Amino acid sequence: MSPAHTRLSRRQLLVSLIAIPLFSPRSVFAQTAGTDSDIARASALLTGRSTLAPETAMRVQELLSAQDAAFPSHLASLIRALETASGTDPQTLSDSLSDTDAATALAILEAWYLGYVGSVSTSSMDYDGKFVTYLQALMFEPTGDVTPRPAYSKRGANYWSAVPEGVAAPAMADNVATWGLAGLKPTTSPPDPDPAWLYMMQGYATTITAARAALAGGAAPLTSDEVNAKSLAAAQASAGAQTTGAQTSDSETREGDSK
Amino acid sequence: MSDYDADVIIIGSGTIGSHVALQCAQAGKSVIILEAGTKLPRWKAVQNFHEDAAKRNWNAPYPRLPWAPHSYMEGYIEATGDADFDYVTSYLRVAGGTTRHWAAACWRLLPNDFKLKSTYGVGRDWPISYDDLEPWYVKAERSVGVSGTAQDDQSGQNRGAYPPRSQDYPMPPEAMPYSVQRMTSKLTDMGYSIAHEPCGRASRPYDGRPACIGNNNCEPACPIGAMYSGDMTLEKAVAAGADLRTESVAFKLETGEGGAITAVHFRKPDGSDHQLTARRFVVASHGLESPKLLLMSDVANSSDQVGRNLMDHTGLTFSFLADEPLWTGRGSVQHGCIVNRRDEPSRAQHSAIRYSFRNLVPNLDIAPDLIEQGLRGEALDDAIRDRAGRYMQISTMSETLAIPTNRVQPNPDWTDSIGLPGLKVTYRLDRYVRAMLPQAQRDFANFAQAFGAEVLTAPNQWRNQFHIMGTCIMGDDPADSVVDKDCRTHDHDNLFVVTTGVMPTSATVNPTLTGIALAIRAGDTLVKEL
Repeated sequence: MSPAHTRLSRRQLLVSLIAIPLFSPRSVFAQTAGTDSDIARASALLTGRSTLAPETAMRVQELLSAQDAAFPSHLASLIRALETASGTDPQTLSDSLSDTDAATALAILEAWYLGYVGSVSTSSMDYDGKFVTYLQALMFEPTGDVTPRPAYSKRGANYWSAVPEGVAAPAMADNVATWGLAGLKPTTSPPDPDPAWLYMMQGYATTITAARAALAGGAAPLTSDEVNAKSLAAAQASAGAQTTGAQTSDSETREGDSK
Repeated sequence: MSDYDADVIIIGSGTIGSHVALQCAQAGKSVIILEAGTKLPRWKAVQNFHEDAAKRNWNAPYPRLPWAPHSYMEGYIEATGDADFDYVTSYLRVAGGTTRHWAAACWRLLPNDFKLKSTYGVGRDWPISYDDLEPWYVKAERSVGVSGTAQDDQSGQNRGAYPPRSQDYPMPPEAMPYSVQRMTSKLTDMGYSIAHEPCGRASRPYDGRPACIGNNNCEPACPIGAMYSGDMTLEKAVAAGADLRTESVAFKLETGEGGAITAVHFRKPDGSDHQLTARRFVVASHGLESPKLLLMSDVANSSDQVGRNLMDHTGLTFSFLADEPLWTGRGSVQHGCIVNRRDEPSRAQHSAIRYSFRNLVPNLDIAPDLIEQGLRGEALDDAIRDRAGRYMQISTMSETLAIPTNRVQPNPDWTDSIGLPGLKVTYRLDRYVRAMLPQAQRDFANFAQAFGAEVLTAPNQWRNQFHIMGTCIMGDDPADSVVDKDCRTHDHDNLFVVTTGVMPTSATVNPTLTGIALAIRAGDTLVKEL
């Protein structure tokens, strides 16, 4: 975050002085959810942020305690470890934790970054995840100048055609951004793929370095016939019956299906 | 005094039912719309989205009704199929229907998509041609408010401006995002043809809607109504005089003398049963719910094809990190796609394919792993920014064929709170779909090479795209189809079925615009004969 984001203009300061006492429930709530609570101090140390809302920290504590009755004692252990460790760098602090304290720290960090605790599903209503925050979810902070928190765009129509902030765009044709026949259209047919990249697409390597090493060692991508045979065999692997609502609560990272 | 409760009763208030209702109501016909679900205003859907933990669960912000379960509710859909594929589909039971949470892709089929059998020797032909439907596509595009360009080759076969159109789109395309510019720049050189994805999002103020400002939340709810959704047409239909009755679950169509449908029976959440009569009945209850009602009523099924021939665009998804920042997530959730494989001779052997670029803000896709890996503080924030910038996801829309054994049936072994059955789905991927895998892997390999990809998810897991087709299949022959070219059931002169479920071919494009075009066409038929 640049200092500009935290410095208030004279006008903003006046607006905030007028607005907070009259309308903000936070100032009232803050009396019971202070920045000196264990959860607030642990949250600050783990995230490296001193401006986290104390009432959100209390919500993290309440939800994690509801999930695991031992959370308060785990939190007490964690805050002792964090405050007796040297330094304030979140990475160094986290790396110094015992496995138990690290697990507690992970739960707190996930709540702050992702904005929920528990598990969620993309394909079933059978999940126990509980909402913590959306507008304060930290995972959006590092990208806030480039992409919106979904549903909260701060920009106008068509802003997205510009080169994103901080990107040095490679040279492109003048008509690259023109849709349709006046834009770029191919003059050749797609080539046969490089075997190493094909090998990756078949799920055998995640990086081109690993794929090339495998091919150098004698591996080869499957032929089309082999791909088809493997696919048909996978279909028959075992009796496939399931109920939609009872599918594994896959993480939110897996889905992107469109309508 | 009329002998009927209404001229026409429409079962289902989604975009398709609402379009039929609007047309009939505007022509002065009396219309009743039965909707199983409830009304949910846009602001409430957005608030629900905000407050739910599962941000990528497109059904979560919408009503969870024990008397009208949606597709993600526990036990409602029992699916059986292949060992390597879980049948999942996403739809809502709510006023306005599932376009409340779509991504608004508004494609026309290609002319060859209407004659798959005669052109490629596989699947079926439609009883109507592209030319027959073209004027209705125009009306559908105007009603929905579609942004697009007529000057594009949507077939990817060097056919010039294609498919042929009698009128341009009502709005120009939105600007091309930087990420699609990079895709276009690199992939066009390789021989890939990138096309604009026509969409029901306003690119300028249209019909009371503001222009899209890139909230990137089309699914599950556009917060500003720049994107079309079925409740907009429903509101117009109600304003034109249609009588919307929510919380009314149709469970039986009653047949009288001469095979005419005489009444619809529906149940309220309190378990009470009611019935209404009409001259004409229109079942427009979604591709899985429509055949369920027909089968529960034992109507329209002399062909034994009701509920059969279930199709989706079951395909593959590839997600990767590029070797340069692309910044998906700027703009709506999708803008462009690769169309080379939509209409190639290989359709005789395997699925046609369209590759769609996903454009979701990807933080939720990448942050959990980074946190899990132990990154903290600035290192974590830097990694989120780096990976969010380089993330890209490309999915296939793969053509499936109408296979009678792929089917949906009522499931009497599971009942909802008012005693109505769940759904039983049997769905397997045949050789025709599976044989697109080698082609898709070759194309994905080229995409990966162009962007120096590091694989996050290899494209080898099948997934549905939630596009339901085939279940009330359209055809000329009453022996092997459910409805005729006008969406009228072969078995009952006064019963129409209007859903994407009537489509005899799936092609590679989102079916909703075709469904709306068929709805407006069916509405025209109804108005003429009522």
